[in-house]
Amino acid sequence: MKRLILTFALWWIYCEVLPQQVTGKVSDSKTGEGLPGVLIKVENNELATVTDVEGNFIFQLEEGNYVIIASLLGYTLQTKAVSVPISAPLLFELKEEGLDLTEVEVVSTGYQELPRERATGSFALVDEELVNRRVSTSLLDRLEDVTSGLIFNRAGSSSDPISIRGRSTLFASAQPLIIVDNFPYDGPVENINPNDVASVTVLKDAAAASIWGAKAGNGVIVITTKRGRTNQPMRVTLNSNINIIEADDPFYQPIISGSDFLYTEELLFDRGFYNNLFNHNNKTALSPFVEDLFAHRNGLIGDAELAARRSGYTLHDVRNDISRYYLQNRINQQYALNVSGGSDRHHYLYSVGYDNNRAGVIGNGSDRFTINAQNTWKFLSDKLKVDLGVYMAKSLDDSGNELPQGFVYERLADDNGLPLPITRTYSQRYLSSVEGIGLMDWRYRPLEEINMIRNRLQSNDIRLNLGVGYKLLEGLQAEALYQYWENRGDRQVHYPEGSYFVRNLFNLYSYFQPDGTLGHHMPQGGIYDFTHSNSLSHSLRGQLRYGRQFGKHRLDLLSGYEIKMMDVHSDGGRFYGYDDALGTSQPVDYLTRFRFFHNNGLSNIPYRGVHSGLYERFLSGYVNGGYTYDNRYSFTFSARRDASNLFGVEANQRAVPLWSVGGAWTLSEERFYRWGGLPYMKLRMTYGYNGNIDRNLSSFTTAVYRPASTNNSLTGFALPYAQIQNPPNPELRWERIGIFNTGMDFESRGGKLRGTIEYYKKSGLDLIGDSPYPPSSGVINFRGNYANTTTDGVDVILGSDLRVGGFRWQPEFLYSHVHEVVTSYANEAVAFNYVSVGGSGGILPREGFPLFSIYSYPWAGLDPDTGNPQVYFEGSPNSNFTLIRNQFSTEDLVFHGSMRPTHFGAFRNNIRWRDFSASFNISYRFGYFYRRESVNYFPILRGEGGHSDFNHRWQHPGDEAFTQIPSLPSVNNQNRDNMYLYSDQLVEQGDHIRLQDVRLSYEFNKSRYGRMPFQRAELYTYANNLGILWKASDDPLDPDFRTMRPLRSIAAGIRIDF
Amino acid sequence: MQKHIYILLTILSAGVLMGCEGYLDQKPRKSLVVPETLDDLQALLDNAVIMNSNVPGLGLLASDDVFMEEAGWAGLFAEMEQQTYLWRRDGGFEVIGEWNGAYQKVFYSNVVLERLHEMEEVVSANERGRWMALKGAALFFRGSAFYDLVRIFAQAYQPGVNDSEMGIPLKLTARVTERPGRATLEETYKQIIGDLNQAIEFLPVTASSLNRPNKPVAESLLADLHLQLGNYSMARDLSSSLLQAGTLLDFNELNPEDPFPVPFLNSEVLFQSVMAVYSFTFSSLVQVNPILQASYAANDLRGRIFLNRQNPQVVTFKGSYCGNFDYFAGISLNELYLINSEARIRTGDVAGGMEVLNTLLEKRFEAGTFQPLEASSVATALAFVLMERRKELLFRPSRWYDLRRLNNDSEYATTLVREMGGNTYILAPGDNRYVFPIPQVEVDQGMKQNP
Repeated sequence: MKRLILTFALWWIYCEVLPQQVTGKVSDSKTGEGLPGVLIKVENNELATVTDVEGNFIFQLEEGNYVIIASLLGYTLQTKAVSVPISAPLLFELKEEGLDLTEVEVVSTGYQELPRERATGSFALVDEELVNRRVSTSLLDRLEDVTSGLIFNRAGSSSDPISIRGRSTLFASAQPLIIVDNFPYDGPVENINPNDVASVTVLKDAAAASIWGAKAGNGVIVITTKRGRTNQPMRVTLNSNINIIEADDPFYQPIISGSDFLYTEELLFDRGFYNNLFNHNNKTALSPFVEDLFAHRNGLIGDAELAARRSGYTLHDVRNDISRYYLQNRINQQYALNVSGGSDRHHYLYSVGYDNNRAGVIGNGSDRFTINAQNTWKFLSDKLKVDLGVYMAKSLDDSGNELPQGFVYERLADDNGLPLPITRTYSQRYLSSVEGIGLMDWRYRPLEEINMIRNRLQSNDIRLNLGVGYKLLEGLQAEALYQYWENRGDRQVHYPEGSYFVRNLFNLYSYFQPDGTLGHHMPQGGIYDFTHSNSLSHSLRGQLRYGRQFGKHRLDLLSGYEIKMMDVHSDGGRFYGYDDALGTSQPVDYLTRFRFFHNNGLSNIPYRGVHSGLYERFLSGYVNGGYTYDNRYSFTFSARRDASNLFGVEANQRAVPLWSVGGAWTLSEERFYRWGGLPYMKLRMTYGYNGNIDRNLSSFTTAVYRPASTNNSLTGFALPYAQIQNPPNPELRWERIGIFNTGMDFESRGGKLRGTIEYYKKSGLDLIGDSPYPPSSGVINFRGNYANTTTDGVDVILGSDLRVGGFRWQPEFLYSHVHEVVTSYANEAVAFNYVSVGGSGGILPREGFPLFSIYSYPWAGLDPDTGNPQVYFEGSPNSNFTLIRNQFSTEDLVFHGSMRPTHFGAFRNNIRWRDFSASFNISYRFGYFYRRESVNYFPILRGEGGHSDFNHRWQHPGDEAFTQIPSLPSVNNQNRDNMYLYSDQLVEQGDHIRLQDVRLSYEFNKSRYGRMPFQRAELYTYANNLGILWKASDDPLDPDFRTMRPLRSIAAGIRIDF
Repeated sequence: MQKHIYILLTILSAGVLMGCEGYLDQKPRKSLVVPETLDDLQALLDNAVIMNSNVPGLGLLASDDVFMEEAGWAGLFAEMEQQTYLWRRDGGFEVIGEWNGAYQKVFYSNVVLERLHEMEEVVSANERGRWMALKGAALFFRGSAFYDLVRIFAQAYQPGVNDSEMGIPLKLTARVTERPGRATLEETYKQIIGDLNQAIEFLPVTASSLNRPNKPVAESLLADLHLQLGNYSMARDLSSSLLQAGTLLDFNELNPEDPFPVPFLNSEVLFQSVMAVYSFTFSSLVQVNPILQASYAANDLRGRIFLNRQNPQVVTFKGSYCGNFDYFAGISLNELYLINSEARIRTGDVAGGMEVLNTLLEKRFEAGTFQPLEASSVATALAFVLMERRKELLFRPSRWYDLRRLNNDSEYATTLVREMGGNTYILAPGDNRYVFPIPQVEVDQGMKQNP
């Protein structure tokens, strides 16, 4: 900088006071291309010119200081202060309007927007361009692989789909808090139209998130919606796309082949497994082939017929029929129109969006309609600012068609495509025996049910935001923000009279009258179920905001109260004998326990009374402050106290105070800093606590009431009853997460390299966990403060902006490392618990190991005589299943590592050449393991089928040389199955690199295509889930997607700015 | 400016110090309660899914009430059931449901008892009656659950003989973190008798619903316990007054053609409870022991009401007092007649004992055809009553417990034999397999396993 000034000075001395030639060039900030037709004006001067085709301009000016303005419609106007004569041509880079909202990168905490320079905490910003990069209906999907430290979990339970810097809780909700327009979002995230989103900020450390206090433990995702801007002419943007996602592949999961399945049925038949089921009181359904085997045994069919039927079955696979009749490509269409603008007193944004999604199952689908209106007015010479926003979403979801579950060789249709019945609930023998006696048809033909049942969820969501700000004094502002949110959901399920559901119930509640004729306890007609739910919340925030610059001192303070209430009510019921055309229904006798027609069991007609009321109350107070000296040193602090209507705790346990402090030092502003290579360098450090609320917990015993009707149907006593929900736990404490974060931000000259490197350490204290408990205590699982954990890790973002020839290459590299360790955990389990719990997605913490760990038994091959699984026990191969289950020492388990990736990130490349751009994202996940599925004989020996590895099992001595799959046992023994399933040879390394997506676009600009009726148009195409580039394991399935491969999709769309 | 800063600091500090807690008293869920009132406690005990279900039933499967051909045995759904029927203890044999179900009852009872204790001083005079009834009920449920547990998971108790053998863990508080080890048999029975005696003190004579115990119910269970332990005079005295607690069913009024001829909650039922459900309780191939099948005289209606002879090759049971597939495990008047009769006979009152027995049997035979049984010696009378116990209490948990107690008496000890797949399986009196192993999870946590 100093050198530059010196050069200027020399020039000035050298030159005489004469009109000087000023040359320059205006280019597009994104493409780097010259912009023609840009108006170049000199402030307070008549002088003006326009750039040529290449974007160059030239004019004469006398020596002196001027302000030069470059403006072009659709671009943000740019001004430059210059001293003439100039040392080098003036270079303007105009930014397209709406692409980057502000010149300064601003992060939002939901309470305040602050420039990045003054921030001490850890924020990850996803700007509008990045939000729009993907094509998807849901907003959250668009954060994947573009946000450092954030990962979409594939292993573990589905209740925590996203982790920000590892998992911070064992059992409480692991979902990050989602903020939309300053308030926690109460509705379903699916209702947010991604086209209305301006940016997303992910708050990762205590300083960033502690303003959200007890809800911020899992990180916070702040969504800011689009706004109009003052002094902006009206802009209209249209975005439309269509996304085609491939149909599910029912063959993805390897299951036992039809002929192997028939073999197991024969085997089980010979063993007598079906004897009881054949004559079972419940008229239990048997597969067609098992029925044939009985028919053969009873002499009803001969050897030849049995063999013919058997070979006939091998020709069919129900998955082909499912594919043919049910599965389809998903087709998602999206339309969004957006109008915004503003004068100096008022700005606005209105948008409408429509999404229509065809689901993967025929006849199912959903749509969403959103309307958004945002207005801001300024009054009293800008002292009073009023914001009013209304957001409405109406959605509809149809899911009446379900995939049928049949035996693998069953057929849904005959050769002529006519629907065939498949086995369901009752044996075909029984159904034939009661045919023609006056019951309704009792067979289940899935194809006839298609589009018969209406299962529709309609939801109306309204969000109203009102904000009033008044400037009390210079720098002091009082603000009140209010949000009203309401969601009405209405689910209707109509089973018409012809549906299997109705026919089955009708028959079950039929009976023989004394005169021998059939009577029916249930009226004829359909069944209509409904559930209405109504949720609403009020949030009110009152705060004072103070911000002033005194010389080199900058002080910002924020303090306020927040009060929130949310009520969720739902009620539902059922009508019998329902006639949809006339809107009539009929009463039934719910109290009498009737005998079932098929087995004489006693049961009342199912009563469906759904009533629930959930209430959330929060009272919070917070303060937050920042002090910056000379743009070099920043100090921030934050404290918050949350009190909530937690149940079953003493009043003083209802609140938790949480706080954070942070500091930042912009090293590059120091005089001693002379590193020209990195002209910007900032160091940051923060510490503080976030919390987590588990609303289900209580230190007293809590119970829930259940209706008398349930007691009546289960036990015959029509008395209301209560079920214990929580055993008493007086030692209960709040979970807290202490977070230390330190980071460095830097940028090289000209943005050739910019980056952020952060290190963090999180300490989870008193984490609440579920622990398997000896049942003599009265519970089999007990939830309490069990564990402490520490998580440390690194988040790195490196970005660059390179121009080579006509190309502009902007790579961004994300890398995150997460290392989670349980530092203390009260209970120690036996080896079997450790190997088995992880497999089912549960958590069983173990001191010194990651929260999600994979353990296994050391595999010792198959017993050459029996094909039994063997593992090493005390140094030698052992196949004593019970001994291994009960006596295997925890120390001897093989610990593989974490079930969740410990190193992950993405490498995104944007390449631009003239008006073409291409972007592709390569994501990677390393340092984790998963358990490969294989044959489990337990379901196989119950005639339920299993894994296709069955085919490769040990069958004869000698097979152990080329297979590790145990022999078929003579009796079911789960300990034997487990020994194999939990052995180390089924544990695979999950490491892989995948080509996540590619986006190609071409942009038409009015400056280039003068006759175009709009300012700008972008044609784009986007392909997702393109495939794995490399993986460590040779397991053919995707390491992260075990039940269905990630479905490939391709989208095409257009975005037009009018 | 300094003034402004002071104002600000005041505001800032106010932000974190606020009150208004009344707003937070709203409970988060409509149906949620901290069980406090007597109504809440009653609702906990009315949870019949827990309190009146899941009575251990594996003893029945292991007993000689049940008979299966190979077809039926092979078709038992759980490996554990197959092993139980043959008294096998192959690897992985584990009984979980019986243990967990009973300890859940203990837990509910303890929660109720602790809350009742807190309320003792403040309960109003007109609520006192309900308070006592609840206390009695909770004590009854706890004692009864311990009684079920000790008869499945510990040796048959012979006072003075095996007092210090392993009993069961006696969990007496609701605090789940408190984990007692296994008490001795003597301590266990002392606790059960104590709970039942206290229950008798607190329970009212009548209860409004048959899922709730009353005084006669607690006395009945205690009478049974004393019979099991050989305290015959106690059993006799307790049961004598209870014969009026209900009305005997006249089997002539039942329709043997009904799929389940004995009605649910009939006049003999004093307390309703259901045995745990297994695949064998639903099987159509689980038969009544052929010896018992043959034991019913032609005019004995039980032969038609208890037995389903639709398929003469496979005679199954249809006489559950639940009127359903469920097996009855509650307390009924017919059992009291049998207890009283046996106790009288064993205490020397042969005539009195036979009279009680004949009163019961008269209701079981075709009207007008019943010939009263006659016995002159204790031994003959005892043989009668023990046989009638089997015929009357068919497919209830009691047979297994009777085997256990009678095996201590060489005169009535039974060696059970089963043939299956060419193998013979034998269960000798006093065999370790008369005791089921406790769940492995308890052993994992350091509790001692049965031999």
